[in-house]
Amino acid sequence: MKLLVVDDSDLIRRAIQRTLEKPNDEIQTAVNGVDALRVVERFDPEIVTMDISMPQMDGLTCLEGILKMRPKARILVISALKDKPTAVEAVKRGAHGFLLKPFTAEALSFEIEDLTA
Amino acid sequence: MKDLLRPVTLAAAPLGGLLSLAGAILLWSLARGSGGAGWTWAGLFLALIGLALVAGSLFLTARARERALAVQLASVEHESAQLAGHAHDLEVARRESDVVLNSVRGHLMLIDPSFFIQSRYSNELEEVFHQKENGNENLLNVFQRLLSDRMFKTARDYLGLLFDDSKKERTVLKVNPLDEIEVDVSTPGGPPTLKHLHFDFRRIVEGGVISRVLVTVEDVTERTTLERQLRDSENQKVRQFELLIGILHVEPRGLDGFVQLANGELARVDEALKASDFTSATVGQTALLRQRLDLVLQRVHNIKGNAQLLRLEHFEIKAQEFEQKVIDLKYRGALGGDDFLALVIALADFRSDLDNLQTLRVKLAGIQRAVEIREEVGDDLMTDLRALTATIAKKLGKEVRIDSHGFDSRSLPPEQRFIVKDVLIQLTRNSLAHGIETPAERLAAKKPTEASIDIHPAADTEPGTFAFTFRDDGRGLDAERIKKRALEVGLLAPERANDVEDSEIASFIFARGFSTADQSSMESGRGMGMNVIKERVVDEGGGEITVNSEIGSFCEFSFVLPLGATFLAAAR
Repeated sequence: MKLLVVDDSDLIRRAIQRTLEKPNDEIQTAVNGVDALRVVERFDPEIVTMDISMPQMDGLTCLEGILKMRPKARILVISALKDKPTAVEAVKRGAHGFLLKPFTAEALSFEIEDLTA
Repeated sequence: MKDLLRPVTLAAAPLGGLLSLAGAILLWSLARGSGGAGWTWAGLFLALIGLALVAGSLFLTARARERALAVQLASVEHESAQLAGHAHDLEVARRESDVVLNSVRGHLMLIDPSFFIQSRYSNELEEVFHQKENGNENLLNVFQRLLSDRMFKTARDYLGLLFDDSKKERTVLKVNPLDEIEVDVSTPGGPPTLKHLHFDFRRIVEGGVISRVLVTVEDVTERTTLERQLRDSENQKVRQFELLIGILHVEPRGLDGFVQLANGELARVDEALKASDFTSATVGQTALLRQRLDLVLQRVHNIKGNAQLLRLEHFEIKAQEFEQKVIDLKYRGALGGDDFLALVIALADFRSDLDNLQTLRVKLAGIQRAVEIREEVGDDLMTDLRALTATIAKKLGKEVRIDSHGFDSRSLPPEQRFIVKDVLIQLTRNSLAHGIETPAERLAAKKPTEASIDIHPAADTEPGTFAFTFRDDGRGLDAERIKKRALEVGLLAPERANDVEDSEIASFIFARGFSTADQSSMESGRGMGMNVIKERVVDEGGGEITVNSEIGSFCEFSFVLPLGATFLAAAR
C-alpha cells in the first residue's frame, strides 16, 4: 500500500509511520501542504493522513489540491483542532475520515482500515 | 356489534314460520273440501303432517339460521377482536412513543431532506428552543435564530453532509459541530439567557436512500455549568499546591510575619481606595486620585519587597502585577468606576491568596513540628537578606557581600522588627539596583570587584532605642543627578537650583515617587523604596534617619528607632 503522511511535527510523522508501516508498504512523508503536493506529483498515494493546521498552506487547500491530482486517494484528516467548523469543512471538501488528536495507535489503525474497507 | 345483529335474526324467524303455517292450512282446507268422513280424517292427518312440516321447517330454519348466525357472529367477533387488538396495539405504541418522546433525556425530531421538522416532536422541544410550534418548521430557521453566523453556516453545511450519501455516516458523525454548543435563547426585552445544547444526529435509510435524519436535542446547561465549576475548583487546587511548594523553604515564623504584614498593607490599600472617589472622579479630582494611587503603590511595593526577601515568588509576581495595574491607572488621563473595580478585584484576589497561604502555613507548621526539631541558627532576618542579595546580585551581574557583625534583630519587639526588616529590604534592593556598580565598573574605579554591604548596630545608643547603620561601598549619591531629577518632577523650583544645600538634596530621595532609574524593573525604578523607609521609620516608628555619602565611594544610612512603651515596660 502507498501511504503519504503529512504533518509539520517530526514526532507525529514518525509515530504515524511506525504505526502504519507494514512489510510491502511504501510510505512517504511531507512537512507542509506545499511539500505534500510536490510529493503527490511523483507519488500516487492510496492513503493520505494529514494535519489540518499546518504552516505555509492550510490543510483545507492542500486537501483539495491532493484530491484534484489524485481523485482516488483516501484522505484521513488528523487534527487537534477544537475548531469544529474547519472539521466540517474538511469532510465537505472530500476528507474520507477524521481523527482527533491526541490519538492512540489502535485508533489510527482502525481509521485506516475503515478508509480502505 | 352483537346487539346490532340480534334484531335482524329475530325478525327473520317468524317470517319462515308464517310461510310454513300458511302451507299447512291450505292442505287442511283442501282435504275438507274433497267431502266424506274418510276424507275428513285423511284431511286432518294431512293437516297434522302439514303442521309437523311447518314446525319441522320452522325448527330447521331456526337451526340453520342460528348456525349461520353463529358463524357470522364468530367471524364478526373475531374481526372486531382483531380490530380492537390493533387499536390496542396502536394505543400502546402511541403511548410508548409519547413516553419515549417525553421522558428521554434528549428531545427527538425527524427532519426531511429539506431540513423541515416533521410534525411529531416532544413537548419540551419548544421549551428547549424557547420557541412555539416546531412542527413543520425548517431546522435551519431554528439554527439561524440560535447560532452565530459562522456556526450557522457550519450547521447548514453539516445538515447537507448528513443527507449526503457519498459521505460515511461514521465520519460525518465524528465532526458533529453541534455536539455541544452555547446558544442565546433570550427573548426580546427579557433577561439574557444562554443555554448549552447537545445535538445528536442519526441517518434513517429507507429503500437505500437517506430519507430522514433523527435529531436528538438535549439541554446540557446544568451539566456544563457543573463541569465548569469542577474545572475551576481543580485549578484552585493546582494553585494551592503551587503555593505550598513555593513556601516549603520558608520558616513558618517568616511566613507568619509576611501574612501579617501583607494583610496590614492591604488594609491600608483598602482604606485608600474609595469607590465614591472613582465614580465621581472629575478632571479636578483626578490629581487627588493619583495621590491615593501613590499610596497604594507604596504599600504594594512593600509587600513585594517582603515577598522577595522570603523568596515567595508567587506573591512577588502577584504584587508586581498589582503594581503594574496601579501604575497603568496613574498615567491614564481619566479615571472612572471601572478602574476602581479592577483594583478592588486585584485586591480581593491578593487577599484570597494570602488566606490560602495562611491555611497552608498552619498545616505546614504541623508537619514541620512533627518531622524535625529545630535549633536557633542566628538571626533569620540576616539569612533571608543574604539570600535576597544573592538572587538580585546574580540577576544584575553584580558581586556583593553582606557583613553584619553584631547585628541581631531577634531581641526587638515584633512591631520594630517589622520596621527594621522593611528598611533593610528596601535599602538592600536600592543598593543593588543603584548604588553598587558592576564588577567591570568597580575595577575601572580601582575598587575590589566584590562590593560590600555593611550592617551594624550603632556604637553608642540611647536607652529605649535601637540604632543601626547600613552602608554600601558603591558609587554614592550623585547630587547633580538627584538635583536634575528633582527639577524634572517639580520637587525643586528652578530658581533655587543653584543654592540648594546638600542635606536638602539628600532629602529628595525620600520623596514619594522619586526615582533616578530610567526604567522600572522588578528590582528598582518605582521610586517607592526610599519613601517606604521614611514612612516606616519616621512617620510610623517615630525614629530618625541620617544620610551620609561620598560620590564614587560610599553611601551610609543611620537609623534611630524608639522601641516603644510596651517594650520598655517588658524590659523593666
